[in-house]
Amino acid sequence: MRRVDRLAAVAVGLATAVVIGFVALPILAIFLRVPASTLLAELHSKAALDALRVSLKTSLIALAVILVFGTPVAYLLGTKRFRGAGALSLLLELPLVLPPAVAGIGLFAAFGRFGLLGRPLRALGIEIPFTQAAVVMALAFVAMPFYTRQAVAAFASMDERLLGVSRTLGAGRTETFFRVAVPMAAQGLSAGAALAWARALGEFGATILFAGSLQGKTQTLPLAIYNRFSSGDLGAALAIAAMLVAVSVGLLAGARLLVRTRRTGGSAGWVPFSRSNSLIG
Amino acid sequence: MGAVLEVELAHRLSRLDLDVGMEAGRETLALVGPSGAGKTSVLRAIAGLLAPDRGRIVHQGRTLLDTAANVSVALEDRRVGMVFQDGALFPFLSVAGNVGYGIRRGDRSRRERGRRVAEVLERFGIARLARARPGELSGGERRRVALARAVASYPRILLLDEPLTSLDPVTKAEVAAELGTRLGELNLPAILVSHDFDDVLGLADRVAVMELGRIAQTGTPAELLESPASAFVAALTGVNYFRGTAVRRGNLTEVGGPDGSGPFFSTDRAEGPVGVVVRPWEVALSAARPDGSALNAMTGPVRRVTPVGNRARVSLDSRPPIVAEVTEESVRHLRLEPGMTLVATWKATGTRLVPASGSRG
Repeated sequence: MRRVDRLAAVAVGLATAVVIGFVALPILAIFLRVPASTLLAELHSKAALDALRVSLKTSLIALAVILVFGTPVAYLLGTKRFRGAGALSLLLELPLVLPPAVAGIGLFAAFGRFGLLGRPLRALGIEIPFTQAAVVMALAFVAMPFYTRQAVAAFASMDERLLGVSRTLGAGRTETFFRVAVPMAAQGLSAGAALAWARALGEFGATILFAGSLQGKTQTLPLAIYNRFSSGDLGAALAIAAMLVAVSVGLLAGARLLVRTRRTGGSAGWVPFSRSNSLIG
Repeated sequence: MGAVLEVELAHRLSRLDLDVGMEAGRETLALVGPSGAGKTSVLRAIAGLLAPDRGRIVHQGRTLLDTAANVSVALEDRRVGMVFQDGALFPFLSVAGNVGYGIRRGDRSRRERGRRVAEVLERFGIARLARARPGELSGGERRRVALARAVASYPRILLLDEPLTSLDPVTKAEVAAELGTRLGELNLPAILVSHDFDDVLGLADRVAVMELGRIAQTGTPAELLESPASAFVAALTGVNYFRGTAVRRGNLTEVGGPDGSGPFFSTDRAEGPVGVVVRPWEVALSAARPDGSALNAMTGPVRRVTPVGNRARVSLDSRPPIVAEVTEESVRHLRLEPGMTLVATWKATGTRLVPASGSRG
């Protein structure tokens, strides 16, 4: 082996060690910084449980909204060619690169009391900011592209002939969508859903601007961490963080399991997580 | 046999203009032509997967498409079974799930559907595969399942896209034999597409040769072999073809070949411009011109030797070029190899004269 190769091998090993340490250490620190007994005790605090409840509820509703509205749009973009398709997909991806704080202030400017739609909404007796509806909207806005990107790719890579075969066998367009397109794209759709859910669970910036941080109402887990941390209660902040880590890891493992059992002698491995962007919070 | 299905299509594709008219009875009609001739587009248009610029498709008095009258029956209501090359099976369904896919839920009970699936699986000899996934099947099995799936939902027309392509020779022969039997039993208009004339011999009742978006000639396989209408058809069917000018000389016809070649002799009666067809298996090869009854002879170097089963096709760079099909034994006997000069001979009865139609020589 040449000397330069040996040096390179050492460098690669070193880089790997640094990366592992850099990622693993903070996660470990959450569990090790304070005694386990403190963590467990803090988990039973009302603030932590409230935050968990709000987080699960709002993120699941946001996920449902994303699936219901995002799937048809993704199908359209993935299977049809039409004028404005490029602009539409750009628009769909915009929240991905938009700082969450911008998303939050934008939502506020649109749906807030004095926002663009503030007057008509108020006339209808609807007030959105600082409610759970606002949390759901913030999460859906920020997490939607994580689902639609995967869904568009999944629908676009379908074997078109199978859709045609379904039609020749007597199934109409709608039936073909549910019986062929959805099962064929299932892997991509579930991966996208898992990503979007994970992103929604970690959402912070848009939520705090548009929905505030009201305990038991709009205070999600990330907001609760910030709230405890800024009031000097490190133990409680760490306990909630530990809870969030557990939920996220569970989600990741669950999604992987789901995809693995769905695949039958499949070809491609699990790519979506490794291929997609980091979950910018 | 009366026409059960009438098809007229005109469609502008990116690389060619499709302009096709054809009729099919309760028979197997093969569309044969090189890739890019528009064969698959014809199938797609009949199935409804492609909307042609202009066209009319009528099946037993029922209009499926008439662009002039603005009629186009939705593809799910056409009752056209489509079988794609590799099966195009639903990968997320079992074999039984695939076969049962098209059996209408509305007008049949779950039990009846189950019975129909079982019956079709049995009939196609795939009952043991019922629970298998498409990914676990061989190429031949996949095609069988695809045909079973199309047949299970009672189609009125059957379309098969390259049913024999990319199979190994043994499987190909099996699939062809089985397909022939099935199509015979079904008694439907069946249109199959193939780029290989040899593949559809014995399978198709009639063959329509497609060239550049048009049908160059339609006939039984024997008719096409006997009297190809053009050099294109001849090349496709694997016979020698060249143009010539015939003059009657007593019992024989003397034909001047292209570029002053010939003369060639034929027992067919003809006068004036003709197409000359010489079937490769009528041509004998020898090192020197043999004595005997063969009136036709051409000399030239061997360009290529291609084995075809237990025989070999030998192309000779004579004027005009000619292909002979000889036994392996004679390949060995003559110590055949490219470059050596040989004499190709055939009898006057082996020179078939056909009307010189078509614009291409």
